[in-house]
Amino acid sequence: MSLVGALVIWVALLGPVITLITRMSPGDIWTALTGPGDLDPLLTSVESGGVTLAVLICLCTPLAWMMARDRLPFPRIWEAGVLCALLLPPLVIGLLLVFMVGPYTWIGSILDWLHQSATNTFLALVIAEVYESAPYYVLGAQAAFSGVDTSLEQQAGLLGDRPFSVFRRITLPLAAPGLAMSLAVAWARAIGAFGAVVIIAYHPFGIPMQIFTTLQETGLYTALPYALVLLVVALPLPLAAYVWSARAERRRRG
Amino acid sequence: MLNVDVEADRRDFTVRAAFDVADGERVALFGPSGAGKTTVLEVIAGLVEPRSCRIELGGRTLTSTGAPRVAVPPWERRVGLLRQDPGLFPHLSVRANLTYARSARPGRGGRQGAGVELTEIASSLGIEGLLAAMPARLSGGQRHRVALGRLLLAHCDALLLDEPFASLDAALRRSLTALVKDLSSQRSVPSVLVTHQLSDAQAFADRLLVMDAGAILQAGAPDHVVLRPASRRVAELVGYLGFVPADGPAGAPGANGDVSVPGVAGHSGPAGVVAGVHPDRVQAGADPARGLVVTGNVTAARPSGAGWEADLLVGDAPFTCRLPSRLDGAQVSVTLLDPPYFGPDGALLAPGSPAPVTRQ
Amino acid sequence: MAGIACLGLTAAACSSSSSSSSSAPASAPAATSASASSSPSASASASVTGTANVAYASSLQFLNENVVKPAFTAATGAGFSGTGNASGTLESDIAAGEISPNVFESVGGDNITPLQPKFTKWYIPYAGTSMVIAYNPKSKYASEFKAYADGSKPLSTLFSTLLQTPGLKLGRTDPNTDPQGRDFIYMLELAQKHYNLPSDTVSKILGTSDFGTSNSSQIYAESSLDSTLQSGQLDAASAFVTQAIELHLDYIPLPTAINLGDSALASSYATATVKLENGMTKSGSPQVIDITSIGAPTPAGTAFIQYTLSPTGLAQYKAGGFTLITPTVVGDKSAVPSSVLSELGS
Repeated sequence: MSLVGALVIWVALLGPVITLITRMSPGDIWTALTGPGDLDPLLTSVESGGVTLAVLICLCTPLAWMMARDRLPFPRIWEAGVLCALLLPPLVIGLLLVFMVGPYTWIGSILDWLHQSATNTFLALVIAEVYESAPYYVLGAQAAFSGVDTSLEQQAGLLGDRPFSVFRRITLPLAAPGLAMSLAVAWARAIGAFGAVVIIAYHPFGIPMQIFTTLQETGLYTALPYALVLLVVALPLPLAAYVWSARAERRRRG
Repeated sequence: MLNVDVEADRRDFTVRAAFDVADGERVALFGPSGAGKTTVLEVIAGLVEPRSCRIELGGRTLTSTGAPRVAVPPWERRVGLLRQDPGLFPHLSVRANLTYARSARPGRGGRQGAGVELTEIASSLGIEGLLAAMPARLSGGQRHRVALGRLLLAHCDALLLDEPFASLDAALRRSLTALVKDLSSQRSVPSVLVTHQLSDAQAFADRLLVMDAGAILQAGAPDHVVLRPASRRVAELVGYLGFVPADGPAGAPGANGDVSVPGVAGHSGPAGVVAGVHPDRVQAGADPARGLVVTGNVTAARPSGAGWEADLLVGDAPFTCRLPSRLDGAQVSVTLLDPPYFGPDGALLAPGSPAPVTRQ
Repeated sequence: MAGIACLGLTAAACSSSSSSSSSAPASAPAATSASASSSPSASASASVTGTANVAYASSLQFLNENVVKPAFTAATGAGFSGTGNASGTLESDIAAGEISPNVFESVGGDNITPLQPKFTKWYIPYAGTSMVIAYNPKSKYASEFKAYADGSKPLSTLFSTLLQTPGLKLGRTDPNTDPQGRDFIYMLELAQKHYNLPSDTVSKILGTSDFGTSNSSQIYAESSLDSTLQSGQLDAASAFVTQAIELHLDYIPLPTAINLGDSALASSYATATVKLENGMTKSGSPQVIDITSIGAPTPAGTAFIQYTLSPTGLAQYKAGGFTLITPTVVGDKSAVPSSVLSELGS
C-alpha cells in the first residue's frame, strides 16, 4: 500500500479534527476558555476519567485475566455477556442505569442511606463512564492476556514462582503493551462519554456535557473550543501508551 | 530418587507408566508421537493431575491421588522442565533469565555465591558473552543453552526433557545432548528424556523405556532393547523394518507341532515364528553360524551413504536392509545377524538367558 | 424522543450519540416549479414535488413524526423530513446557517422574531399547550397526587406542602437550554403569587434560590426526564399536557392562571422571570405553537404549512391534546403565500 494511499485515508479519518482546528480562531478559543469557571468541566472530566480508570483496573483486570486463562465455566456465555454490554448503545445504557441505580431502586436506597446518590452526582458520572468504557477494556485486556504464552507462565512456576509472582514478573510485563492500549481506549471512551452521562449524570458537567449545553445555549462557535480542549487533554495518555509499547517492543528485540 | 506411578486418561487410551529413576541415572521415554510420553512428564512436573498417580522425589511425595492426598504445586516441586521451545522470557535479558529462579528461591551461598555460580555455569555452557543480550537475538542453540543454564541455576532435584533438541540440526543436537548428559551426572539428579528419535535416546540414556499407546512395553539398557525387543511392536519401534518367517527347512516339526528355531540354541517353539530384520544387522552372503540365513528376491536397490539400500522379498515378507555393495541377481541370500525371534503372539522367544548380545 | 434529536445535532462534538433526525440537505428549488393547487379544502391537493424540511420544537416530535408525517405525505405526495430540538436551539441554528429548513414550528413567537426579517417576515400561532405536573402512579405520594388531579384537594397545598417534602423526587429540565425548564419555573412563580404563598416557596421547591442554574439534582436532559419518571425513579416531573397525553402519563392539570396556556393572560405570564447563567433574563409567555416558512417558500414547504393549518391538520393537533386557537398572521401579511392565507379563510 503506497504512502500516498495511506495518507489519504489518514487525512480522511482526521476530517472532523481538521475541521475543528480550521474553523476556530484563537480569539474564539480564548474567550470561551478564560471565563470564570470555564475550566471546571475539564477538571471534572479528568477527575472522573481517572477514577473510572482506577475502577477498571481494579475490577476488570481480574475478570479479563480469568476469561483469557479459561478459568471460567461456559466461557462463551461470559464473553457473550461482555459483548452485550458492549453492544448496548450508550443512550440505552443510561436509560437502563436509571432502573438500576435510580433513587428508588434498592441500590439507590442503600446509597441514600449512606447519604449518597447515583443520579446527577460525581458518583453517577463515574458510573456512567465506567459502563460506557468497561467492555472495551475487558475485551482488550482479555486479548492482551491471551497473547501471553502460557508455557512461559508454566516455566516460571516450575522455576519457583508462586502464581501471583508469575503474574507480576511474567504475565503483566508481557501483557502490558496490550493492556496499556486497552486502557487508552477506555480512557477515550470515558472522557468522551455522553450517551449514558446525559441521562443519569446531567450534573456535574464534564466536557461533553459542557459542549452539549453550550451548543444549545449559545451555539456552535462557543461550544467548539471545548472540543479542542477535550482533544488536548485526552490525547496524552493514549499517546504515552503507544510510545511506551513501541519502546517495550524495541527493547525486547534487543 | 524419582518414583513415578501414573495412570492418566487420554482421549484414545489410558497412559499407564510406573518406573523409578535413581539419582544421576538417565532414563529415556521413547516411543512414537502421541504415545503419552509428554503426559507422563507433565504429571511429574505437576502441570497435570491425572486420575491416579503417585510421584515421589528425593523422599518427598509430590503427588498422591490415593490417601493421603498430596498435591505439591509446581513452584514447590523443584523439578526442571526443558521443552522443545526453550521458553526464554522475552522481556528479560539472558542474565535475568538465568537468574530467574534465584529470585524466587533465594538460596545457597548468598549473593556472592550466586554470582560465582552464574559465571561458572555460563562458561560451561559457552554463553558467558551473551549475558546482556535479549533472547530475541539468540540462535536456537544458544537459546537452549540459556534454558539449560536457567534450570541448572534453579537447582532442580530432577531434570525432565521433552524432546528439547528436536528442532535443531544433528550436530547441535549431539553436542547439546552430550552437554546435558555431563551436567546431569555432575549434579547427580534423576533425568528423564522424552524423545521419538532412537538415536537421541541411545546417546543420552542409561535405561530405555519404550512407550506406545500409553503403555510401557519394555524397559532396559538401550543396547539390550534394540537387540532383544520384547515384542514385535517394540521391534518395529526400535527400527526393525521387517519380519521374515523363521521356521524354515532348518527343522522338521516335532511331536507337538513345534519347530526348532535356528539360532536360539536348544529352543523350539510353535509354528509361525518370525525373525526381526534390522537393516543394520544384515550381512550379505550366507553365514549360518552368525544367524539366520534367508533367501529372497531383490525388488529394488538404491544408493545410500557409502553402500546400498535393498528391498528384499523373502516369501511374502518384505524388508529393507543395507548392504555394502549392490547385489544383482534375482535371488540373493543374506544373513540376519543374531536376530530376535517372535512367536505367533508377537512376544520375544528367548526365555531364560538371552542370546549373547554381540555387536558385529 | 425529544432529546434524541438534540443528540443528533451534537454528534460532531460528542463521541457517542445516535441520530434520529433525518435531515435531508436543504435546497430551495425555484418557487415557480410545479405548485400545489390551492383550494379552501386544501387537504386533498394535487401531487406536490419536493420534500418539506421541517424544524419543529421538541414537544411536537411525537405528533409530527407519528401522525402528521404519514398523513401529509399520503395526502400530497411530497416528502417530509423533520428535525426536532428546543425552539431556542433551532432559532440559533437557523440564524447561524447550521440548518436550513423550509418550515419552522416554534413554541413561542420570541424564537421567531430574532429571525426576522432575514429568514421570514411573519408567523402564525395556531395551537397551544400548557404546563401540567406529571406524576408516577406507583410513587408513595401517588394517592396525594391523584387527589390534586381530580380536584378533591386544593392545589395550593401541592405547592406549599407536598412538593416541598424532603425526599420527594421532582424532575425538571435545564432552564438554560430547554424552554420547558424555564416554563416550569415560571409556573411555580405564578403559583406562588396566585395562591399567596410565602415568598420562599419556589426556592424551597427547587432546592435553590438561583432559579436559572443548571446545577441541580432535579435537572435531567429532556430525553431522559420522562423515561426516568416512567421507570419509577421520580415521583413527579414537569410536562406539557400534550406530552403527558402522548406518553400516557398521569398528571395534575393546572389552572390557566399558572399553566401558561392562555394567550389572553400573556401579560400576567410575563411577570414570571428567570435569570439564566449567561446573564439574560427571560420571562414567561403563553405556550403557543407558531408556524412560519424559512427562506424562499418551496412548494413542499408551503404545502406543509397549508396542511397543518387545514381542518384536517388542526384536528390532528386537537386529538393530540393541544388547544386550538384561531390562526391569524402576526407580521407582514403580504409575505405569506396565498395558499396559506386561503387556509386562514382571509
